[in-house]
Amino acid sequence: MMILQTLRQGPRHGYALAQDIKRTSHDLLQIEEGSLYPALQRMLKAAWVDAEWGVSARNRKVRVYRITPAGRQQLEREVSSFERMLAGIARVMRTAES
Amino acid sequence: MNWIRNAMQRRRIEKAVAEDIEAHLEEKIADLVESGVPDREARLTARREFGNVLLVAETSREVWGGPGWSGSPRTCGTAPARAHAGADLRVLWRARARAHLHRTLRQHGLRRRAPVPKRLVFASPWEPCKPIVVRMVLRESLTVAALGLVIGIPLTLALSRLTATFLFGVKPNDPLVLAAAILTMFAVCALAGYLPARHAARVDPMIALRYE
Repeated sequence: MMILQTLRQGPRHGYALAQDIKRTSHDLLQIEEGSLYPALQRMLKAAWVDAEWGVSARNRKVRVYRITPAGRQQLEREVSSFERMLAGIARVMRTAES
Repeated sequence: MNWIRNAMQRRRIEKAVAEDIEAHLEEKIADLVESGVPDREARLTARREFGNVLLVAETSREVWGGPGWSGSPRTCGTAPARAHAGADLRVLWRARARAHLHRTLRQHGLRRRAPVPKRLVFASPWEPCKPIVVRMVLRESLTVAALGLVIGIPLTLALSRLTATFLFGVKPNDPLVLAAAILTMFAVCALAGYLPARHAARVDPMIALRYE
């Protein structure tokens, strides 16, 4: 979900993607950068993203990932189910407190 | 033809994933170096924060099919049954390669009774160790071939009178024919040893151990 959300702001290569997620979460999320790649492959297989070879800002050959229309739909689905889950948790926490 | 296409696709994915990860690490190292981290430390940090490169590569590849690359039903095309049979065989083949690698590593270690297997398994990178494994397996298969020759040559000479009646234009014990036969057999043995050995060496020990 975070990967798709980040990609919605524009195509990125793997490292930039990892950096963006880390930066926007203010280092709160300590995920291994490597775990990005199996996830990206799954998304490629599901055709939520596509990838093509491009060059990075440092002129290095990198694979640039781009979100597809199917990916946008998936993102909307995931965001809405995530929000429902969050609302559910929040409600349980409030009830437990009172 | 499906398996050729699958194999090619698999190679392509493997290569893309490897290059992708490589680029990621290089970018990160460059970033760290720019922020003032010494080169060596930057390399270590990049690797550490990335996680297990081999594991990542293997899991990324497995997304596209099991460890034996079974391929999705869509890519199986018109002969799904045959493609699946082939896939099963490849799973077996890889499992065998892994088992073989593990066994040879262990045998190698037992023979020397030294921390050789550890050095072999945890050596980084794995590349320089590959020829060792290939040579080990090759030596084994050629030993068997040589043994076969030791038994075979006297037997051939003894039976050559009999075979002479079957073959036209070949003298019994024609040294040229004999030499050619021996050479061919050796070549076949070498190939039969080399191909699985190479296959086994391609499997990273860390991954092989993970499958144990």
